[in-house]
Amino acid sequence: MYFQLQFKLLNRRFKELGFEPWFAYVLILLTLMTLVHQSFERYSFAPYVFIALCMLLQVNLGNQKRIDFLKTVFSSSKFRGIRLLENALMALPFMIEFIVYQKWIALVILGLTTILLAFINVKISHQKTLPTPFSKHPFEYSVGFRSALLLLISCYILMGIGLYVDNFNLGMFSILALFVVCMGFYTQPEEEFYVWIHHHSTSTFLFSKVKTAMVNVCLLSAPLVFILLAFYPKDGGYIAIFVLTAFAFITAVVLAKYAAYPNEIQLIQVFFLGISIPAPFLLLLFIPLFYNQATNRLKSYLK
Amino acid sequence: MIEIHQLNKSYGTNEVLKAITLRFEEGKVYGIVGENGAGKTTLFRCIAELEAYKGTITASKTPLKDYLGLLLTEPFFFSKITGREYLQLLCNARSVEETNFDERNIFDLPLGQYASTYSTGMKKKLAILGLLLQGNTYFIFDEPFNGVDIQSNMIITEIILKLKALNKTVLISSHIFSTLKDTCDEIHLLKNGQFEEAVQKEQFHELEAAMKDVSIGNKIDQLGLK
Repeated sequence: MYFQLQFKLLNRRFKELGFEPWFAYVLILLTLMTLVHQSFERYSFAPYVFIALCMLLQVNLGNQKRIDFLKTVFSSSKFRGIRLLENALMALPFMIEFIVYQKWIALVILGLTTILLAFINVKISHQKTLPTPFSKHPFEYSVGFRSALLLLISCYILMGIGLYVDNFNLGMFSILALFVVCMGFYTQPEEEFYVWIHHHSTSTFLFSKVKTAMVNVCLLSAPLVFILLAFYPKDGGYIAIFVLTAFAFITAVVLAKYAAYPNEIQLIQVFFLGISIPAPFLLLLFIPLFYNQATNRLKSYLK
Repeated sequence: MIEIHQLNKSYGTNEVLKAITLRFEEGKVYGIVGENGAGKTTLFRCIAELEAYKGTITASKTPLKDYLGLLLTEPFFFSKITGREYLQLLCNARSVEETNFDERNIFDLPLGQYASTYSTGMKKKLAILGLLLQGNTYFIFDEPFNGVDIQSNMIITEIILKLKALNKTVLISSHIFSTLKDTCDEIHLLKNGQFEEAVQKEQFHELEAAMKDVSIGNKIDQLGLK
């Protein structure tokens, strides 16, 4: 019953995002398979990155609030069963990949961590405040930085690994990952109050949001970019074009968020962003389009 | 001054506000009372221009929303934003340069902590403090006293009286009649989407007695407590 309910909730969430659930499952599976195939072929450490990713998702399932809720609803034996099963379900796609690619050590490690994490509750301290360099211009980056700190650190670690094994592409990937993490700060629409309070016009509001996004992502990514430039100076032009494109993408994501406001980013915006990945020049078309849509959407909140 | 003329608001076929005409003067505090679902919050949302409506709402300072401090019944806070960052966000939104939040933190709130960890009363106090720092001309306080401790209730009462002295226009909704009695110049009774009557300060005790009579009646006796 509990898992049926979770399944329903998940399907509802996909529908809210504009996806048919079956399509979302196929998309996730295909993305995972592609990522696994590409990374397993190239990097020997790739299985461990996937173990870390799976553990991150499992840790999220074990947060104290969730655990408290489950404990109040279910008996202790059922509670433990649920925790084991949900961790196992989370690990299943990864385990299948490990079996397919015969990564036996990774499979054993993931099996052990899956069981272990079912018995560990992650008590995230809400009292302890994590300092952030973005306090002067809340909220996206101050909230996002705290929520995704581990992911941001992982990007820096990836860069370190990339330089250590002299792999330029891995370095580029770490910058890309950091930009993707920052784009994630703009996926959820804020409560209408937080738009309404602004006394700016729609254009000034959007400009200020894009400017904040640009400046802050610049602060976060600059060390990675400069380190990569220092190690691979002959690829400077390539790095510059890559970073400029990433800036264009983050602009598009910020505008796409408000183009759908107060709803979450819709399938059509995701589609436009998706087709811009292989053809970034399309952003020249989509950025003004999102801007116009966002202006219309924000008219009822800003004068 | 805020002037409302022939304000109508419907959700589908449900008419929530019906032809409301009212004027809120500067330097006055107005209480809006009514049962749950009477339309108080909808009225506030219309004044804040968060809802589309029929009729007109004008103010001496325009656009009204840029001079309005709106305290929602249950203020929302992001999960990982500190009290200080919340105040900064509200000041940034109105281009207010304020750096010394600690000095103006009269409620002694732990501004370095995440606002989402605050108690209900602390959240309300933080939200009120933010609106005050914005330097608004008009204020709408929807249930400002709910969940707040006695000491802070007294401070909020004094703040409202100070706002009145500063010639601001204040609208308050509260289910605690005594708080309205202490702060308001006029109380307007909203019933079924219409203002039934406006009561001046001198008649507040009569209104209170009438409300008690209507709300309580012989319901307590019906309980059959022994």
